Amino acid sequence: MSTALTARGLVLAGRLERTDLTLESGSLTLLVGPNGAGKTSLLHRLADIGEGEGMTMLGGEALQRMPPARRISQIAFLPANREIAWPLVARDLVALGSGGRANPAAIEEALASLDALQFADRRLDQLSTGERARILLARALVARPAVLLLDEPAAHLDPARQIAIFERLRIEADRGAAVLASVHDLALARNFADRILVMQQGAIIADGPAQVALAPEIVATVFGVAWNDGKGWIRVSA
Amino acid sequence: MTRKAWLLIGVGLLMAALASLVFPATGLADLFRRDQALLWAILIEVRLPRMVLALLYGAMLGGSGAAIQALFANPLASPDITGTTAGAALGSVVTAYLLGFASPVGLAIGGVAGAALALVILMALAGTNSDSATLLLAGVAISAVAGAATALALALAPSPFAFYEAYDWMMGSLVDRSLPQAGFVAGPVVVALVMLARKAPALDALVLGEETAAAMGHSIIALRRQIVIATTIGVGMAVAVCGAVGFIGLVAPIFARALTRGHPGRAVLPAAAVGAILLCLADLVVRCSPAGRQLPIGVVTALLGAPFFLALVLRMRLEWRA
Repeated sequence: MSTALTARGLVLAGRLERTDLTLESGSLTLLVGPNGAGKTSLLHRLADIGEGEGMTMLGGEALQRMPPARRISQIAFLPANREIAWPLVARDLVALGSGGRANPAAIEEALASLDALQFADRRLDQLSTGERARILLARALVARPAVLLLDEPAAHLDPARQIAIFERLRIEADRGAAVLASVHDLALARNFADRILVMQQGAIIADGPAQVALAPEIVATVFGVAWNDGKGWIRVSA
Repeated sequence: MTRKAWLLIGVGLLMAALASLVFPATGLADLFRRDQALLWAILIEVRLPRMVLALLYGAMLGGSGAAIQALFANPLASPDITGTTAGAALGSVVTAYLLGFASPVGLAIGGVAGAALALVILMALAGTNSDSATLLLAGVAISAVAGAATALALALAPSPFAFYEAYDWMMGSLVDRSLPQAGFVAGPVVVALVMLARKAPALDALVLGEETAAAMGHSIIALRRQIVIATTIGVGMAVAVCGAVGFIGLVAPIFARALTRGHPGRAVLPAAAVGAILLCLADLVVRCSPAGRQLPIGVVTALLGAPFFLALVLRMRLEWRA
């Protein structure tokens, strides 16, 4: 495996403590942590969105100095917010992910890989939450970026659709992309991740394979819950 | 946009421009036989500047309307609804009647300053990406304040004819404008439209939300700044010469987006073309109105454009209810 992304000195005042991070090509890294732990802030700083400090290096080039045309093949970001103000046709929205330059074959492939072809010619405001989530993910995948950063790609989806999203991200990692996604379902994280990052109060406090990063004592301290075979997650005092 | 759509728009522009020179045609044939020098004088000195101004001002309103709508992610935004034209009219009136600089340059600076002030206040009140209600309320507030301030400025003006003269700025007029005036507006409007058109890809990326557009390398702060600068320069200059004209900036982008499959960014140039056609046609209505009294052009665009605005509001209400 080779390094796809190296970030140094990421800071967002009040949200994210100074953080360094490296992501490997061909790996699926999942980011977990309670609400307000700084997951979105970390993803924003990695993708050079909004205010804050730090430098993200992609293939020896600083993201902060990369023009839009090059960024598209290097990195894609999928926001948690799925509201789209303009009711474009779904297929046209996916095309925006390739920078407006029409690449019909890639668009078709991205749609097909998410089983989204049957509603690709409908307008976004006529799609269900699950259909819209798939179209927006197809937009992020269409340029086949080397690094994928996704903010809660499975939020508000039913269990089968959540699994389908992570299966799709697994395929992206297997083709060589470095994938980092935030997720709230710890069971999903355990099942799909090569590597898990646990965040608490703006800092990464555990980093490693699931059995290490999601050890019961870490889960109890960070989330205040424990797994019970009969009841699922139950509350424990940290 | 397809080649057919561009062709359609091009033919429309050409026809609107020609019609603007030829109509009303009563007496032109007679004049051609009797006094060709007078005929040319009418066409070149009277009708040509009017046509050029209608095309430029309409294009500026349409193009900036499309860009502002894309920036605010809201089809109800436009220079007039958001108070930019009212601010520019106030700026011109204050410069002319209170500060006493009635030269074209003075008026233009006043218009641009007024438009800039109105847009900056709008950003502060509503922010970008605000919901329709906030945006409309902020626009109504700015328009109301600018309108009242304009009336106040005229009431305080030393000239007893101020109210009568300033009617042009409040209702819009292309009457009796000269070629130098048209040339004076042309530069800034063309520069502003080029600035807006260059932002089309960024405005289309903004469809995906501010976060995604930023991750794609489009600086949102720079985008906002450039659209505000282009709109204030272009609209401010045009208002200083032609007065405030409403609804073109609201309606033209609606037609343009129908040609771009709903993409708000790449609709900027088509919206400019549609705006130019619409204002030319509105001016034709003004000139072909019954002899004796000419309607102010702002009244014509409002009468023709208001139904669109009402339809938009109605559709939004129905969507909220659904």
